[in-house]
Amino acid sequence: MMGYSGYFFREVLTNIRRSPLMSVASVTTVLVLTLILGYFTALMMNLEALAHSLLREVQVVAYLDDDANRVSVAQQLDRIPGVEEAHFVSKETALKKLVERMQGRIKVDDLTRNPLPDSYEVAVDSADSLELVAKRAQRIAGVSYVKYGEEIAQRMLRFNSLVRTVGVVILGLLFLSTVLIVSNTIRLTVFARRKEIEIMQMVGAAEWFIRWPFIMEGVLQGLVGSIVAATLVGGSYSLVVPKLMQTITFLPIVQAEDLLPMLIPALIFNGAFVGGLGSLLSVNKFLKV
Amino acid sequence: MFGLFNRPELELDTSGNVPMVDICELDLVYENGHQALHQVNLQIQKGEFVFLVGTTGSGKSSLLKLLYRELRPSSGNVLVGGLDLGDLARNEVPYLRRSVGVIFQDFRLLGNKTAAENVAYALEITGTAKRKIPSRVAQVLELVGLSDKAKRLPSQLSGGEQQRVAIARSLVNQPSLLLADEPTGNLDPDSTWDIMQILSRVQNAGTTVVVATHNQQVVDLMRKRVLVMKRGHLVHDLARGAYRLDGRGSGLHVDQPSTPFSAVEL
Repeated sequence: MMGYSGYFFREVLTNIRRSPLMSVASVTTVLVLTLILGYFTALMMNLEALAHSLLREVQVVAYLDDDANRVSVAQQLDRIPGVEEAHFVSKETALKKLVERMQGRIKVDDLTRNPLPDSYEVAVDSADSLELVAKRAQRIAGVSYVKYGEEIAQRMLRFNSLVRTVGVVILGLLFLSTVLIVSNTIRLTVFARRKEIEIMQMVGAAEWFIRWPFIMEGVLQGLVGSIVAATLVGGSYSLVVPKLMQTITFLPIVQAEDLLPMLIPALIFNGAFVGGLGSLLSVNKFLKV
Repeated sequence: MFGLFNRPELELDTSGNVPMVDICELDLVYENGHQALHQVNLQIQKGEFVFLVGTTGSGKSSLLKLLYRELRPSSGNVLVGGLDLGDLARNEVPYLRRSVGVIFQDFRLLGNKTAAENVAYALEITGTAKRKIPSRVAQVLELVGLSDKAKRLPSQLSGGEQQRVAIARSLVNQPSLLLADEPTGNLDPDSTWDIMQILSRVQNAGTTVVVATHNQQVVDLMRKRVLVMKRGHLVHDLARGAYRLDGRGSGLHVDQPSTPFSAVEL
């Protein structure tokens, strides 16, 4: 292998020098497709994060009887597996929040008494534990009834798995189309050299010996294209995200430093892989025995 | 996994104990149903020089292609140096090709490489040590009389010179069998004669040579074994024969060629 590597390297350079336009075409193809792949992945990650954060908002609220023992209820709530924190909301606080939310449409003075009960807002570790926590909380003495966003939670869960499924399918299709488009682009360069391949086979070159320079060429073109694309994706993401976070504070945007250290190497690796695979597929079309 | 290490052990038997070419009840049917060869039986011994003649479409090229495993027999056997080519695995074919040199009417040189580079190329792909390449290239280029034009590109060479480069390339891996498909089809009489002289020298050096040709004068003058093909059948096999597609005028009596290259010594 070592003895050949010099030969392979020279072949690759000669080929690129001989058909620079074709190389540009392959590199650009990988570049554009990697850009799409990169931005799409970033979007997917953010949608996932959004779904997760929305789920975290969903909580169990346990309303207390008027004569309930707050401390005992709190202790029992804490013992339920899946409960992260139980936060007490007094009936006064609840009323104040209600009035705030209604923005002046009701006034405290109109009320002869506070109709709202004391409650605990119970945060759970995951959306999957919502139902169980709600059931167990219902059984605690002093809890009059329990509410949790059943419907919202279900919808969130469905949205989350939909996002994930659609994302995986689209990523798969993107990958597949990248391989096909790249292999088609590279096929033109291979086609231009089919006579050469024929001669190589005629004088007894082993098939892998013929394939390797093409594969290396594809990997190199894939690398160049995907490095440029990954730089663009990474650069724009780390520029735009801080500004977005300032303006849209309520959205949980994935921070650049959380996303990019994983995304950029993945994109570059993918580009190299796709380039090599595309080359392999096209050169195989012209290898006949 | 690189396919470079697991080089199949593939050696032709060149001892002369088995025929260099041994074809037995060979049929060749193309995918479109056309039967190119019918029941061909043929033996060529080590060191022979054989002309293969016949009209276009008679099956000459198909027969040659079977010998370097460009085609597979539909039935029957093709043995080269004792090796049954029908049984050859796909990854063994390259190693067969290193023992079987082939030249064509259209030379098939790489246009962007010089004469010497074209020849060296056939060594590079076999993994020959780099320091050994220049001397072996020089050796075969001298054999074909092109030492002074080693640095020229194919476009700077005449047709005859290009074919000599192709011969040098086919010889550089020291094949036991040299196949030539219409090697002089594009060449003027002088160049044709140069090529034939070189092929003759190759035979004298011990290589088996099979030449498919239309060139009646060459065949008539050289008085080698002649195989006559007609519509896929091997119809005549003449020792020291002349170019007679109908087979009359056997190798036993020697015709005078109509326009002889009488000045040329073989």
